[in-house]
Amino acid sequence: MSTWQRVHVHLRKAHGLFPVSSRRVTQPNTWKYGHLTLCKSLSTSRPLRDDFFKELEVQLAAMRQKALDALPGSGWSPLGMDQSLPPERADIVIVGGGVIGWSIAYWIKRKERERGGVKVVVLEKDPTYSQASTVLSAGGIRQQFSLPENICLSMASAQFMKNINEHLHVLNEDPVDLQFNHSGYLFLANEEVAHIMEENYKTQRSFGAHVSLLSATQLKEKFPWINTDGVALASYGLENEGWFDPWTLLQAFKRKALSLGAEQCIGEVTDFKYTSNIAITTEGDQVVQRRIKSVKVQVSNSLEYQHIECAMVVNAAGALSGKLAAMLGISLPVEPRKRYIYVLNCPDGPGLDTPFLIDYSGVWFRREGLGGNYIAGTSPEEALEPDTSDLEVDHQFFEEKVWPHLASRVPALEKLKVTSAWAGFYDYNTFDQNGVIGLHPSINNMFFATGFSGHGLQHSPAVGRAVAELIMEGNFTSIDLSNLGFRRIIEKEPMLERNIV
Amino acid sequence: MSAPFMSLYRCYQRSALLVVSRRSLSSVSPASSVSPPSSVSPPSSVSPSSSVSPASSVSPASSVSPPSSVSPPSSVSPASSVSPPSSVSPASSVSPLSSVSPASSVSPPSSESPPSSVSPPSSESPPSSVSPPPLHTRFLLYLTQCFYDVEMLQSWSFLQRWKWVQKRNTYYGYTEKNYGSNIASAYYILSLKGGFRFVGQSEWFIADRRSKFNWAFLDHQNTPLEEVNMNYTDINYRGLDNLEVQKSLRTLSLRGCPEVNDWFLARLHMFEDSLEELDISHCPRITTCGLAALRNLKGLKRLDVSSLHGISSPGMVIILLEEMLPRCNVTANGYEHTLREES
Repeated sequence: MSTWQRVHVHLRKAHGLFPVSSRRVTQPNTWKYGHLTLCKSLSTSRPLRDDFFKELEVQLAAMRQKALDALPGSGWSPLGMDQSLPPERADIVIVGGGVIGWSIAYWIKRKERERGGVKVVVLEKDPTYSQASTVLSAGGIRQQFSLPENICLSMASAQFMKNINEHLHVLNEDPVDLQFNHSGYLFLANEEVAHIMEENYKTQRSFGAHVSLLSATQLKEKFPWINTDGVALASYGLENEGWFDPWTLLQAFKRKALSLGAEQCIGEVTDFKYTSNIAITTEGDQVVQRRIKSVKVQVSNSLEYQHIECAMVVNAAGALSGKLAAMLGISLPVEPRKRYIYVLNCPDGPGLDTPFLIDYSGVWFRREGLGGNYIAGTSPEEALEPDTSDLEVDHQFFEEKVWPHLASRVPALEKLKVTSAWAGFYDYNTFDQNGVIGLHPSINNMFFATGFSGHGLQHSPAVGRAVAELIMEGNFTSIDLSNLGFRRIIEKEPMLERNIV
Repeated sequence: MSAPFMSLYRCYQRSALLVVSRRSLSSVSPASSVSPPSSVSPPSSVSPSSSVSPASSVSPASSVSPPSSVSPPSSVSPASSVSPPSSVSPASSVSPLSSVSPASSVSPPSSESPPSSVSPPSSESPPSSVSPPPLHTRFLLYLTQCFYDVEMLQSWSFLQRWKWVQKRNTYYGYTEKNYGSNIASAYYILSLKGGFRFVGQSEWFIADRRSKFNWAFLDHQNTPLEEVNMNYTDINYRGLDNLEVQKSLRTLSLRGCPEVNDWFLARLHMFEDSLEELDISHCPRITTCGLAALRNLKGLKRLDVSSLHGISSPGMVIILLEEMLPRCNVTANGYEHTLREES
């Protein structure tokens, strides 16, 4: 009897148009609220007396839904494809979901003429960003570089951040608050490098950066807590310099790009499918021209993969961009380099006006918050680069390499406590420690935006705009970054930055 | 076709598109749930609200929840038992209006802020209030989520407000070319309904409520400005271009200016030699990070930082400010320095 009732229940679901027959079967056996009788099953799944109209509404809605799915344009397919896979086709695939990748996605979406005109997919292999350079960075921005391109990139990025809510505001969402500390950078130079600092100062001023030079006495007057032994000249940023929260910037870019229609996929790029065109020069050399047809994405923790057919690929993979380029046979001189950051607590330390101090020995430190906390670090020498297989922190490094210089420069920091530490990767350009932006001569449709060696975050808005201009308009319109292209790597002409951290 | 019918049709279209997009991309980014689902959603966008369980759509806390969506569970549960889990969230199949409520139930902070196109967003979001926002706010939010055109109009009006402020603060190059930089600064201040006083004079030139002022300031082309009062005006960082040449500015009063933020304070270093008195009280957008930018004003004698609601721990910040500017007299009223009981 219960089986029959269940059959009737199914029939009722399928054709809600025959209530009379179903009621006739069940009626004699039930009370209004479904009391147990000998002939009824113990199921409590649905009331036996049901309203015809409510069910009709449900049925109609379900039918409408099915009709909508069947129309072209919906993502439904009768084969029941897995929803968690990346899409099969995309116009631009951005490999790397860090701040550079999302900045490029935002700017491409900003520059598309028609809404939904360009399908942009951002691939990120680790949604928790546990090893991403963006979130582990100290978050500083400065205009004190020696290369004009770097200065312009920093200034444009600061200008972007000044008006960040006008750029990245999403309707009815909270405004973006970068927590930008306007404390400036302070570079110290000894006798030998003072002339380099002066030349850099002239270049920076010519591009409109607000920097001032201080002598040792002026430095002592302004910052009495600095020990000015050995300092010949100091360069102090007055405006548009400081540090901010990298996570907020990343999330702001991501939120706006997603709201404009970019897509995010979780997965790792394991392979490319490309076509090769081999040409022979007049001298008889072979020149291979490759064109990427599709990107093979392996979904994390799964055996599934998907080939995304794409028109262009952007390599914004940060520290792992070298590995990605190697899949195509290109040698990109970018590799991960581990850098440590130590959080210190010193109640007697310098106060609210502490700038981001960088000593000529390479040691740097800055204030963090209001409770007497600071973060400090330094770049190790070439020969003693730490192992990059994991992000473990070496505390010995602090005691040997960081603390002595820090204590000698700022006597108040002699008594401090290391409360915590972390490590992050630089996407270190072993060639000349400056970013690589542009196309590679032997790959037609792969754009590079990597190798920034510690300056990626501060240049990200401007780099995103530059790469978007390159893709959407064909060449650089706002800042000319052709000097940061691949040409200098192939022709072995390094564009070195003097005094980098 | 009549206009109401068209908009109604578009309502169904818009909600239908929302339904389709959620279905096709429901699992694309489960991890991107940091941001509440934005209402700016073209068909191919991701709205994480698909991961919201049907139970939450029935929650009474949702701001835009027309009574029909909080319908008796019996109408919702059969639908949920029928449809397989991979399809669209069942609440949307009940009625088109309830497709809005899952989206809105996840976003209480955004619904609390009134139409953000109208009021300038403060740096610190208002604490979450218990009472739901007023009816017109909820209605506007509902309309924004239903119609692309309303959403477009709202984002357009938000941008227009910013453009208007930028326009008011442009560089008065024409005035500067024809009358000199002092007159340009003076004219800029008066256009923004501020007031100023020349060096060596005791007469103030102030623009009144109807923007009328005394044109006699044109006689003093070579006199720089000494005191500037820009209380409750729309001055922003760009407006400082007009005041940059005033190297003998002694007093600057910026009380209650809605557009004065940290970037503005960072630009004040141009007055580091001469500025003695600065009043930035009641400016909602200033935060702690911006107060650190006052480090360059070593000659400052009086600083007023009262009632800055953007700074998080005012007591601590005032102490650090006093340490940073030793020769300065810092006034900080309007803060509650009471100890809060730990519950």
